[in-house]
Amino acid sequence: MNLLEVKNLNTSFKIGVGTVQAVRGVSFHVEEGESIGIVGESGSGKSVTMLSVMGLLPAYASIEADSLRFDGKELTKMSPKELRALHGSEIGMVFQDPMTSLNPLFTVQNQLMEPLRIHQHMNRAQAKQRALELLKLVEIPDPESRLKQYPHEFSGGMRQRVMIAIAIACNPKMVIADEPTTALDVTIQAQILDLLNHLKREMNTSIIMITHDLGVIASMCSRILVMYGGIICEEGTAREIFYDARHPYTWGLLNSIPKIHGDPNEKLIPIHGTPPDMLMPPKGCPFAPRCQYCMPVCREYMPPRTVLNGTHAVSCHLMHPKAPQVKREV
Amino acid sequence: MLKYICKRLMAGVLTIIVLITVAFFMMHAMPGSPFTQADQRDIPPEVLARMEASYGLDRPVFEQYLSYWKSLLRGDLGVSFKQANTSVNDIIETHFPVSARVGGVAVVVSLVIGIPLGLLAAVYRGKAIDMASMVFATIGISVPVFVISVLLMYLFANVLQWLPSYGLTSWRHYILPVACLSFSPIAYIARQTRSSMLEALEQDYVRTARAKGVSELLVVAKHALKNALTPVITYLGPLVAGLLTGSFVVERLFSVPGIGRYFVQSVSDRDYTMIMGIVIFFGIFVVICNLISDILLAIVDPRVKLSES
Repeated sequence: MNLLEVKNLNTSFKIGVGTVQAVRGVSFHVEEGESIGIVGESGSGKSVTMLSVMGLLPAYASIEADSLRFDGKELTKMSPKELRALHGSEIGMVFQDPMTSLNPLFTVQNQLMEPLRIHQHMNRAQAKQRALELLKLVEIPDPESRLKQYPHEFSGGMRQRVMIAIAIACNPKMVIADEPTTALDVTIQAQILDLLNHLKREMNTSIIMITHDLGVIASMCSRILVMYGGIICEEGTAREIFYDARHPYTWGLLNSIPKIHGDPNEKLIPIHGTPPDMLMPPKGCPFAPRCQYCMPVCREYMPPRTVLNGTHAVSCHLMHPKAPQVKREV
Repeated sequence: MLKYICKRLMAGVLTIIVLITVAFFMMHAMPGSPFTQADQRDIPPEVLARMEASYGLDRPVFEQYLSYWKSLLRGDLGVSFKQANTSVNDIIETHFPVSARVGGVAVVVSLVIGIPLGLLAAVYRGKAIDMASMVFATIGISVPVFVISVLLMYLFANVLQWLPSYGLTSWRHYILPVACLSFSPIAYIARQTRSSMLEALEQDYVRTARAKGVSELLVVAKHALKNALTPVITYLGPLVAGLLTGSFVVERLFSVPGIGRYFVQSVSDRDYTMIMGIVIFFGIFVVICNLISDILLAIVDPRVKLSES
């Protein structure tokens, strides 16, 4: 059964000079206990997609969707109060920057106990006990004394562990991790990913991992969505994306991953150009201006979604039978 | 903490010493003396000389400075030049509590009205309540207190005759002076709260709180407000010191027998001991109020380390 089902999500922001169309018709699903990754560069709409699902966008955002269904319940029809009951209890969220995501004026204990007291109606002693367990679970040394400390007394990696502890406090069915490792240095990144992996296995939680780094999700996610210009340009299992990618943008992302065992002098292949201006998104494929295989049709028409098999789908005009046959250059 | 307080108090003592010195010499540099007033009847020069001699005014200024210190160290602020047989200590002791009562009420009123006003303006940004409170705040900051005092007095005491306009004998007498005193602090606090609240509501930790399912009321009143109040706490020191020590204009207009009016009056009277007494008193008060507001800030914000500053 699908835990989360998003159908035709459109999110836009009204700003002074016009409307930014951040997400344009995104559909996907997440199965129970499944981990998916959403990959794309800054401004591709990946974070906005998940914040739309959570209803955490500012008031000037307009969210339209045919359906946002979580655990059989339609989110678009829920009142703010009903949504709040899901937030932090059934859906946990880990944000990008652990330095700013915790409130500097409250102790870790206070912030950790909050979802427990709100959703599980624990009394202080119970919540405190559970908070202690949670800190142990996210492998923070010396949890008793750490509970009483303030966020500024924690390192970045430790703060992200606290954020994860908050996200999983009420045993959520789904955790959304929005670039959870981007603000951390590489060794800490690996530790945080290990921790998330470990928790996922232990608690059977679905994880939606948002990142711009394909390397980060390789170890975690069974399915990957590649986003660009507010649309999903390719989706498939991790295997399909890493070994049988079809979209030129996915190729670009794959080529820009540094290889540990490769020639150290080999240059990384960048994706040239800049992402499209979402104030005036192109009418055709958003990647067309940067695509080395761009055809005239790409600039005029949005490519249709071509389903290659049950799990692998690509939105690219190159999939058309009459299009030239090109292969990823490695 | 205790070490920090001691350090700050010592720095405060130093400040006061400098303050006393500067004030003393500037005061004596002013032309005229306590006994040379235009409105005074002609005093024979011999009498004047004898009066000055009896107060020690004929000695060199530096000598006077030293002897002032001598009596000051005994806690004696001297006798007023203008109010015969009244010591400056007595004047402060009688009139300061009056100012402090009015000022204290004004501090509470400023906070109780200013913070919620700014809070509402921030939460309902761009709505009618925001516009209204900001119009009020701009008026409060830009219109001088004497204009507001006269307007309020005219309206409530003269036209409507709801409130008394002078004296301080019942709680109704407090309303107008307190309203005038707290007008501009309310405006300032409301503006400050609004802007820091708007900033706080944009922060990542507020988004985290929402993602945890925290109710909107708690998001605002707990997570954002505590962060938004730190600039207000910083402002609290000077505010409390300013209001508790009274206002010349308001006390004059509403005939409040407080200490505020002595500040200006003693200067124009060249009442040397009175000037010094009030300068020292205000100085100590400001030092202590600032210290308290810094300690308060450190209690609210654990990132502020007292020992380092």
